[in-house]
Amino acid sequence: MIIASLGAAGGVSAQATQPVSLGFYGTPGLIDMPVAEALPDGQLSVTIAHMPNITRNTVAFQITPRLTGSFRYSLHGNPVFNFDRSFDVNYILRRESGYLPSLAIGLRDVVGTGRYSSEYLVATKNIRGDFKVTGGIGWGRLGSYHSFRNPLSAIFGGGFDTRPAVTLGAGGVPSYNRWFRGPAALFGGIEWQTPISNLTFKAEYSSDAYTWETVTNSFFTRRSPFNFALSYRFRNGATLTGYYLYGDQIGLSGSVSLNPRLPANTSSLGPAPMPVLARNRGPYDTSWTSQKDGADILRQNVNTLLKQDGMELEAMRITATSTEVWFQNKRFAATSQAIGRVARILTRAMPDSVETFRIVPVKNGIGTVAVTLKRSDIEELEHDPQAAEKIYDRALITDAGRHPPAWAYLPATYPERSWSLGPYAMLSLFDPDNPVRMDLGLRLQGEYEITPGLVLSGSIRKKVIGNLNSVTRPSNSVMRHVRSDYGLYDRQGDPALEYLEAEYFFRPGKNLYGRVSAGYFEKMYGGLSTELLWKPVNSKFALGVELNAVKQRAFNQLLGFQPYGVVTGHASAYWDIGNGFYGQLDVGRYLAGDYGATVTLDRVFDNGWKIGAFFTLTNVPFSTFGEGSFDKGLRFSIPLTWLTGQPTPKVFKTVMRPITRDGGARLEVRNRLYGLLENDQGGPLQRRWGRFWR
Amino acid sequence: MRLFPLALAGALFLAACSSTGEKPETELSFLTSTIKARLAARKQAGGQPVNPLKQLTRAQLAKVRTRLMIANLEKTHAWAALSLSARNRGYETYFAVDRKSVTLKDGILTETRGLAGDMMESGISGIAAALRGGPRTYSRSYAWLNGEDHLRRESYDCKVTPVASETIEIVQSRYQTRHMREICSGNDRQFTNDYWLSGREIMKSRQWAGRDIGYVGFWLVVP
Repeated sequence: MIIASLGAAGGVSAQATQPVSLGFYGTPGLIDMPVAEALPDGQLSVTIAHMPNITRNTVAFQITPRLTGSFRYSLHGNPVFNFDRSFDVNYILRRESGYLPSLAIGLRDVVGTGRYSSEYLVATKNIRGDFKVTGGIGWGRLGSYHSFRNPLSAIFGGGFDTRPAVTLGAGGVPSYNRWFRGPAALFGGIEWQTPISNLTFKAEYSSDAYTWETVTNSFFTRRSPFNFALSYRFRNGATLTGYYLYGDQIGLSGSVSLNPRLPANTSSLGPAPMPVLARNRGPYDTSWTSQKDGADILRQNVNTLLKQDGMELEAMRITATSTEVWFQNKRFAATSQAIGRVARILTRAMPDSVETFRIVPVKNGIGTVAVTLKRSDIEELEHDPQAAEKIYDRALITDAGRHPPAWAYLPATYPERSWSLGPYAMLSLFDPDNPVRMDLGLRLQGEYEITPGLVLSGSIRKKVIGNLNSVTRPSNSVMRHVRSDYGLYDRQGDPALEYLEAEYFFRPGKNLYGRVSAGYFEKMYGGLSTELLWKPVNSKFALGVELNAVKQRAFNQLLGFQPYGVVTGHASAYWDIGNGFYGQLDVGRYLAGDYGATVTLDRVFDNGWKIGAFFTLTNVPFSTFGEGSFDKGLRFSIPLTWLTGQPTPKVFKTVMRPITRDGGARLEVRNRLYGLLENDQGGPLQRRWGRFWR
Repeated sequence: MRLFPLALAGALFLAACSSTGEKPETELSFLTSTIKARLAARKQAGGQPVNPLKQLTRAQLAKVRTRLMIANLEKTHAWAALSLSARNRGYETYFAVDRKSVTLKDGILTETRGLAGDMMESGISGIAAALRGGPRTYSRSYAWLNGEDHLRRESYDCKVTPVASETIEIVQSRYQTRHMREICSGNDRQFTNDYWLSGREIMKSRQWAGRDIGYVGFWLVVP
């Protein structure tokens, strides 16, 4: 349960009276030079900045109030001949106070080819509320114009005087051998909030000599170190900026921002819940229990009421004083809200003598948690000024246990059939020949749940139009092509059987969950997958093991297989670190037979947003892996209800990898156990409990 | 409500990059119906809303057996008829036809459901006592859900003063009322609630329900 204190939703930025602006690099900055400022906590900004021959597309994310991270995809040349991927980090060392400025340290192109490699220390001070002054010292690219001997070599020795040009590994490795080395230079600038509202003027002195762009290539002529910009901010936070750069070129950039903590639409739409039906005082008659069809009638009644709220009854056990309800939530993004609605419905549907409600949401036949509430508490607290907190304190949250016996099920719950036919779009990014490729087509999906936990499902898609099949460049990987032949799959897989599998979910014991899947799991692999997860309902930790025996599918993504088969498996540890951060460590054997580990860190917002980063290191040498050196990427989950305000549990998920190669490749299996359970237990359930009475 | 995020949602959901078990058809129809509803709502807001207090007659209301209120959301100019649906420990929950509800205790608004930025919880013991003749200064609390699904609680310092004795008319019935005014401040904000009491019953009121909902006017049409 989180009671947010006043003003907690706002970001904490350096006492600025104007919002922090993004520069030509798509991160908080003047133009090319950085500033000692951060975006509001949680903000995600996308910037496209262009000048002749140079385009920078950047996604910046404020990971914590002080730490900004960004990923950039840059295009150079006309026609474009160089595609560059880079990651930046910026950390606020101290915030502005009194007469002292704010101070930040940053590294650009921390992991990348090094085109933008630079480091800096920068200070920014607000003067008068509408005027900001910035000054700093830079190394690398930011130390290339009017540079002087590295002052750090006085502390760390002569080794810091030169900056190695060697790329570590095959690129893609943090180039720590370069950081803060080599000549340094000073930079600075000002930002002025003009009297015209939302219009800002920026001017800077740039310490970037742009050697590669102006000497090695002739993108432009660097006539002057001074840059100027005029930026307009729209009401929704989007910006449009015009630049005059290096005394020679005009540039333009646009950015859009959103913050997962501030939904596009107020998050409380959707019809009102049924009010609690308060009983008269006891004692309560229990003669109704002798009615032969009483239980069946109650199940039907509860099901009817649940359906009005977008839920469905699976099973119900009833005694004179208690009831246990297993139900499916098809509407609410927050499980606490579904549980609250079930509780209200039970006060209306159950005979007065039923005092204890044990409410169990079901996913894939498994009860994800059991929340036990007393009817008297529900009646007493419905309108209490601290209703949500108090009902949480009185609730008993436990392992749901195995599903009820067959007689407790609503007749005709199983087998359960569903299917859908609809459009799809698939996107592929960063291919050098064509950075944005997309297909549109039709997808037919079906699901057949035979008994609780036993599910058959499949999906087939047919492309209507698109250019995903235009990748002609073959994989140059020297490893077994376990993933890098995606071009062949995209070209030949039309129509494509996306997945066709039988899954069985079961409870081997207390706090234990199991899964067995067989069939075609994903685009490239099929076989047998088994998983066991230990996850106590109120713990911050979970442990799992997975073992798979799979064969590589034929390129045409139909029923055939290629000869290559592999046994893969991982032991996984999951950790709710706190403050919205979750960590995951997977250790094991990957698809190419390599051994290693994957580290993932997610920032999870309690409204369902997730932004995370991962990397995998295995016993495959960087040179064998090829370009990028090791597998890494970003992953996003965006709840649809955040965008529209209407209740829906749907979440849009995507993974972005700068490059797809064959080392550290993991099997993609639907319905891994942790994902089924994570939102219904422990910290996530508690932190979203504010929705219980909604 | 902005359409751009919906359009973005539409684009995102068509782009099923690595969705698992998504059913695109359902999402598409869900989005279409949401967009249609929003466009219809916009159209409606542009038109002239009907004030039911002026349309109803006492004769029409003679058949109504349950407590009935008329409510007006000032921000959106929306009117609704709310009938009493449930009572629990003195709290009365009223429902409108489109499944929106309000809860009041002794005529004081404590919760809303189904509106954007619903009032989730509130502490009203102070104002309730003040209207009954108790201490005229007190504090009251509210809670709303913020964008992260956390309850954002706010507390206000309030003071009640009598304004005047006024005769008001609600659908051809006249009531002699005491008009009481509550002024609350805190959290960089000040708001004013007005209550018209006939005996212990609040016949008419204008109450603040939060920064998203704004002020709501209530008329007790069938006591």
